[in-house]
This record gives sequence, C-alpha cells and structure tokens, in this order.
Amino acid sequence: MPNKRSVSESYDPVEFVRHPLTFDTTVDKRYRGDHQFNSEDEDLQLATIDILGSLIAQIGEKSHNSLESNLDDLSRHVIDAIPKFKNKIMSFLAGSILEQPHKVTIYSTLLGLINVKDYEFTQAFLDYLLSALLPRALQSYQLIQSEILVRFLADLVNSNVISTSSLLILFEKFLSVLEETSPRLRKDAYVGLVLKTLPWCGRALNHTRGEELRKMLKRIDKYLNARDTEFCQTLRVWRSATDTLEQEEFFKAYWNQLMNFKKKGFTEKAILRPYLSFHSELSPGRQHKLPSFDLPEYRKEHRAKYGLPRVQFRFFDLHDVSSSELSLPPSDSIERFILEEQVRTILSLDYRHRKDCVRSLLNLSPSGRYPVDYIIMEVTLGELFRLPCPNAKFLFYFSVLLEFSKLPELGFSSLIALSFEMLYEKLEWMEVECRERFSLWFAWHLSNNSYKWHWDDWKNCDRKCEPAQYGFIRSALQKCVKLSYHERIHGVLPEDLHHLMPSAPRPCFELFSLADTEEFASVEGLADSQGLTVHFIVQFSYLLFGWCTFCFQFIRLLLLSGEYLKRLGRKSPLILSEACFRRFCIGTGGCPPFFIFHEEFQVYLFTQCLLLAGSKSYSHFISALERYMKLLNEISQLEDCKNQIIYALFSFWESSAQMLAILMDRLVTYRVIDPTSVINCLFSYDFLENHEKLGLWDILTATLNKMVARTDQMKLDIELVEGEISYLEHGKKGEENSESIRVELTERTDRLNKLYSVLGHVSKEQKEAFFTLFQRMLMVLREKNCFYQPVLVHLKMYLRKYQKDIADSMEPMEKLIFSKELDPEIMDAFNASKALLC
Amino acid sequence: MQAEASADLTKKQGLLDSLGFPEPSLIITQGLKKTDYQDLRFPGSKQELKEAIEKSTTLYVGNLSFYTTEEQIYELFSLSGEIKRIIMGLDRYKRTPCGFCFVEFYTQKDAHDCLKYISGTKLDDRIIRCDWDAGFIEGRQFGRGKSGGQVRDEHRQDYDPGRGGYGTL
Repeated sequence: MPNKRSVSESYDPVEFVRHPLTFDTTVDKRYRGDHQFNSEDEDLQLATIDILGSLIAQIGEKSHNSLESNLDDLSRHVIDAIPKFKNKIMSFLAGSILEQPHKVTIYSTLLGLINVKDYEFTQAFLDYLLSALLPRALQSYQLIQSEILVRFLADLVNSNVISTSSLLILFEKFLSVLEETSPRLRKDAYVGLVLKTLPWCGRALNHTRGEELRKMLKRIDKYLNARDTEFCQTLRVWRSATDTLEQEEFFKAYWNQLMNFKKKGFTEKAILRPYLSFHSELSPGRQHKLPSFDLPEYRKEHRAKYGLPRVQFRFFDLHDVSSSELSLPPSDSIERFILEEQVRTILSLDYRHRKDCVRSLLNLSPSGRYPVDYIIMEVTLGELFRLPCPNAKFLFYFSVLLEFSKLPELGFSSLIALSFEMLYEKLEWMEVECRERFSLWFAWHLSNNSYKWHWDDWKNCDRKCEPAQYGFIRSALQKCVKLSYHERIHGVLPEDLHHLMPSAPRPCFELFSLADTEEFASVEGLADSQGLTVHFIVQFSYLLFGWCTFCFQFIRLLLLSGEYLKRLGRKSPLILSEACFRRFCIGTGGCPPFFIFHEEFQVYLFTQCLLLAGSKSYSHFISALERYMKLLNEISQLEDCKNQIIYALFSFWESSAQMLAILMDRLVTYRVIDPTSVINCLFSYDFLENHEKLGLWDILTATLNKMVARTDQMKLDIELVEGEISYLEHGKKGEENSESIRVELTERTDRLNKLYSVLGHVSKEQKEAFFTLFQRMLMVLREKNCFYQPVLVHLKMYLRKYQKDIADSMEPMEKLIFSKELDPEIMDAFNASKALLC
Repeated sequence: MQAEASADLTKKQGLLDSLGFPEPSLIITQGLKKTDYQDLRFPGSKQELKEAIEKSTTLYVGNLSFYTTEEQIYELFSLSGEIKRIIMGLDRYKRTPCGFCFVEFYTQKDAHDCLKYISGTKLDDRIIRCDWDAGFIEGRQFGRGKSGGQVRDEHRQDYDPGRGGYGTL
C-alpha cells in the first residue's frame, strides 16, 4: 500500500538537534591521534559547530540540569570553539538574541562569562552589534530589531561587560534627536529605545550613576510633557470611559509605571536574572567601552516608517483572573509592562510558522508568579484591535489564538470563551472598526470549530435594546456564511435566529425571468432610463448560454450603431431596422422594430448579460470578463456609462453581499471601473439605504485599500531601483567606469523615470479619489438624516486609516473641504488624524 | 516589506561584507524551506523546477471537499492578501471539482503567510494543506488518477463523504 501522505501536518517545525547538554567525549576518542579519520575531521567539526549553534539557541528551555550549570557548560564550549569558528559563533549569538528577545538576560550572562576568559572576542562582538547590526536596523527602520539590540546592550551592564558610563553615552547619542527639528514620531522612536531598557538596567544605573540618570529622566520628562497628544482620541478602542479600562497614550502610561518603579528604587520582580548567581565568576571581567556610530538622518519621505503612536489597551482586571495563586500585576506597575513588552516583542517577529511563535510564548517567564496566559490574551487582543492598523495581518493573531486553544493543558479555550463574553458585553463602547475585526475573529474561530456555539443564548437579542450586539451577530453570521455556505449556517442556527442571517444568494436578471429560458416566448421588458421608456421584444429559442452570446452580439451591434449614428451627428433615438434585427434572429422571423434610446441603458443591459453568463461561479465571471475585456475598456472611457456597470452589478447581485464584494474587486483590479466612480455611485441614496445588506462599507474599504496598495507598491519599486542605482554607482570600487556598469545604470535610470511618471499619474488619481470621498461623505453628513451615524463613523475611520496616504493633501483638504463651519465632532476627528503623523 | 528588504540588500551586503561580519544565523524566523514535492510532469529539469518554486507566488491547496466553492476559497485566502486568481482542480473526465485548487497571489509574502497561518486549519470543516507550487500551466488543473480524480483518492481506504465516498479503486 502506498504511503498515505498525512493530511493534517506536512510541516515539521525544525527539530533542533536533540543532544545532551554536555559534550560527549566518546566522540572525540575516535580520532584522537588517528590519522585515518583526518578527512572526516573537518566534517565532524562543522557538525559539532552546528550542534553548538543549536545549543546556544536552546539555552534556557526545559532541561534536566539547572540553567546555571547549562550556562557554565555552554560558555566553556563556546570559548573552546572561538579560535576556529569566531564568525560562526558571532552569527549564532546574534541570531539567538534577535529571535528570542525574552532570553536577553540569559544571553547577556553568557557573554559576560565569555568576556571573563576572552576579552578580544567580546570586543569584536560588541563591534559587530554596534557598527553593523544596530546601524543597519536603524537605517531600514526595523524598530523591533533595534529595540531588542539596545535592550541587550543595556543589560550588559548587569553582567559586567560594559560600564554604566558607556551605556549612558549611548543613550545620550539616541537622545540627541531631541534637539533636532524632526517630527514627533522620530523623537518618540528614539526616546522609546532608551526608556524601554530601563526595567533591565535601571537599578545598575541608579546605583553607580544616579545623578546622571536623574538628569536624563528629567530631560525626557520635559520632552514628553511638551508633546501634543491630541491624536489619542482617534486611536482608542473603547469609546467612552468605562471604569477599569484606561487608554492613555503609550508613553504617558509607561512614564507612570516608570515613576512607580523609581519609587521602589528600581527593583522589580518579573525579570529572570541569571547573572545574579554568577556574581563571583563575572566580576573578574574587564568592562568595555561601546564603539560609537552615527544615527541615520531624518528623511521626510520615510516619516511614516517610525511606527505610528499607540494607546494602551487594558482588558483584564485583577478580579478576572480565576486562579488564586497567580495574580495579575496592577496596571501601573512596571511588572505589567515587562511581561506585556515581552509578549508584544515576540508577537512582532515574523516567525516561519505559527507554532514557533506559540513555542516562544510558552517559554516566557519561568517564574510561576504571574498568569502569563492572561497577559498573552490581553496583548494579542490589544494588537489585533490596534488602531489604525496592527503590526501584522489579522490572520496571524487569529491563527496564534487558534493554536493556543488547541493546547488543552493550558485551559486556553476557556480563556478565549471568557474574553469573548467580556468583549461581547462591551460591544457598544467598542470602535466600529474593532467590532468588525472581532466578528471576523469569531467567524474564523467558528469555522475551525464546526460552528459549535451556544446559539440559544442569543435568541432574545433585540435590535432596539442591544443594537451593537444585534449588528455584531448579523455581521458575524454574514462572515460565517461567506466562509461556508448558506444552508450550512441555516442548519446550525436555531429557528429564532434565522432572521439575522443574510439572504440566500440568488442572481436577479432584471429583464427576463430565468424560468422562461427553454420555451419560445416573447417577453416584454420595461426599463426606465431617465424618464424614457424602452420597448424591447426578443424572441429566442436557445439554451441559456447561447442566448446570452446572442445578446452580447446584439448589444455590441447596438453600441457600434450608436457610435456610428453619433458620428453622423444624430443624438435622437436610434431605430434599429427590421432587416438588421432579423439577421441576428434565428428561428421564426418577423419581429417588430423597436427603439433603443440611451447608450447608458445599452451598457446596463450588456453588463447584466455578462453577469448572467458568469453567474455560475467566480471563474466563469472572470473568463466572461476577459473575453469582453476590449469592449469593457471602451465602455469605461465613456463618462456616463461607467456608473451603469456598477448599477447593473448591484441590481443583479443585490441578494448577496459576498458576490458583490468579489465581483467589484475584480472590476476594479482590471481597471474597468476606477475608484472615483465607485465612490460616486456608492454615495447615491439608493445604495446608502441598504448599506448594511449590500456590504457597502466593505466594498468601499476594499477599493480604497487596493488603490493605496498600488501606490505603495510603486513607491517600493522606485526605492528598489534607486537602491540598485546607488549600489552600482558607489558599490563596486575599481569597476566604476566599466561598460557593463554604464549599460546597467542607463537601463535602471530609464526604468526609474518610467516608474516616476506612472507614480505621478497614480498619485493624482488617488488624491482625486480621496477628495471625492470626503466631499461626498460631508455632503451626506450636512443633511443630518438617518445616515449620519454610519457615515460619521466611517469618515473617522478613513481619516485615521489612510492618514499616511492623505498626509500630503491635508492642507488643500482643510481649505476646500474641511472648513470651519462643520460639526465640532468632524473637525476633532480631522485634527486628531492630522496630528498622527506629526 | 519584501521589496524594502531587498532594496537594502545591496546596502546590507555591502555593509556587512566590507566590515568582515557574518549575517546573524536565524533559525525560527527565516523562510520555510521550499517544498519536498517534486512534480514529475514538470516540463523542465530539476534545477528549473527549483528555480520556479523559488520565485513562485502560487500555492497548491489540497484535501478540499468536492463541494467547496471558489467563493469560500476566495474568502479564506484573501485574509492573507490580494488574490490574483484561483484555479479549481477538476476531474479529468467529469470536469467537476475534485478536491484541490491553485491559489495565486500577487506577492510571495502573501503566499508564504498562507503556509504559515492557513495550512493545517479548517475550511469547510476539513483540515486543508497548502504547499508551494511551481506555477500554473494549462493542463495542471486536471486530476492525474486513472479514474479522473486525484491519485490520493484512488488508494484511499476510508469513507470520506466530502470526497466521493470510498476510494475509486
């Protein structure tokens, strides 16, 4: 029997080489003075060096021996291996530090032990960090990596590798940005680098350089207080203040925690510090001076890369923890920050698989004092709900939570259920964008758990009493239906909840009922197009698709004839002669003449026929689109007709928001309709009335996302080519004047110029689209009718979400659109989002 | 992020090389090794197959139910990024879906993220499996089993209602 490939798991996480933590000396015996094995000697050495690398990576995880003895052994083996494999050791150490930020104290102890015996290697390693890795991370705006490296460097004062004075010099270097005239984001980033290390090195600094530390803190305090934190209100997840949930701006909240930390003399209980057990071993080491380096300069176009500001997210209270031995550290304590920061840093790394992330999280905080699972849940939710957008895709957080729920021994599923209950109760205070993410998470979770849920609890959900919950359930059910299919959810839900489900998808071809396709029938269809009626009679005897092909050719003829007549200068109704019509009519002839008036109606009918042909599945629609692409491109040039395509689509698929979303997405991707037309159409009242049912906001957001992604991709491509050009110009010394380099340079420069021109065009389109969007939204808001709330909510969302894309046009927008007579609520939102990128 | 990384690649390599320093050795945050699956009908050498997979943005998705629709696949996989196209795997004779498909993205990162976060989770109550694919060529959408479906369905001993019941042999 052939080997059945396992279905559920094809990915094996890299199995670190399982090797006992002491070197097996029997291996060495084999070639002690034995010349026969010399050729294998090198291979064996390379294999052992890889084993050493994995030992470095695994230190601190579960083992038979204590951490101290493991560190002792490991440091000895590393010192032995340094003479031959210096570069490899440096690369292993650096890699482990960058990938396992929660083990920073373990690695600093290791480096301290190495430093005692090998001063030069430690000097070279510090050089490596400060002349290569840290500058590179700062230049490429990899803030997480920079934070990890700086934290490691700061912790080295504890293991006697560097002196506190040299650490303070490094901090001074970072704080030199405070004197610059650069935006707040850059200054915040560098101040954060310094401040976030204090839990680790605060005590040592206070002990030896207390006065300088105080001066530095005072300077930072002055800067933090002088900042304008107006933007906070737009980043809060919870709208009105509920008593236990504080949502201060990150630095304000952290400063509070730091002051409490200072009051306790910079002592804390959350960090594991192995160097305390090695006090006597570490003291003979000589301290190093940190080499200096230059901070990267400020560049205006990279303003958004410093990371957007954040607001604190608190969810669990001390009372929520069920266990009696473990307790959450209070919200203003430094321990809370330490635990949260460790979880947050782990969640910000880009793992090769979700299981590796989960494994790292499980390796956190060996001390059994704190309920780490609550912290993990709170931080993950905080990251998922982070405004304007989280660090990673929503999918990442969903899948990490799912992996946790699969570990029964942790009891995570009950924690997820608890979080869900708590979030559900607080829905009406939650920001609308976050409610959407919450319902998406819920739908994903159900999809992975066979839609098992206690649905009966929601039987009494009333639209008037609990509008937020009602809306949430509807939205979640719609997403569940999208991920599965209508009958499935219908079967799972109790009868009382069926009214909350979206309607079953059914294509709605306006002019003909689908039941009549197989008979000879003459169908009279009436369509009202701007007050003019169209009398339209067709005889047919084909099967559905053949009939549609007939329609296409028919419509094509109409359009072409329309063009022809236009050129003749006739704008009045077009009469198609009987003879012409008969040519396309197989079967019994003789049909009366008819009148077709507007091109717009022709386009409407054509789009409906196209949709009918493609109604079977998504691929069918795409192949129909591709077949008639040329014709569609011609239509999209005609100003009035573009909108007809959208109207036709919405009337055909008005029963299914999913189909609308997917098909609109395709039409925008293929540039059949442009974002501005989408915006103009969607804000007409017929659409707004059914905005929930049609999933209007999803479509709008998706269209804007696509437009913005296109511009971003162009900018990245330009950066790539610019980087290549500068590399060619300055990189290869001695070959500067060679022919091949010149050829490549010209080729790259040409491509760059082309990219710039396309970018100009695309940016202009984007700017126009955003202008139209805000204008339309404000038009609706001025009328103060029933659509005020949803439009206002989404206006705020778009101002916040697309801040980096509209940053350049904020001033003209303020002059032309967001003038002072508007509601204070709107102006607040506008100003807050303007302050985001300052 | 990907383009940004390679834009600086030229800078980075220059910087680290010129100073004589090695790259940090990343184990759990470096890319997943590429697939073990070797498509025997790939029109090219093993080296070409390897190169095609290196720059591929297409995924093979397997263990789908025969009744899973494209819209469901679209909905799930678009959580990872914008989908360029989906090609359903069809039975060679009946031309009906036979439980696999190809999903093509615009960027490699989006495809990679599916492998990290979606592969091994459920779609339509079945655990699906994703893998790199060398790229869709016309003809690859058909099952290669003797009865028209996938080879795995021929030798299957158990009863699977989502995949036509018992194995076809």
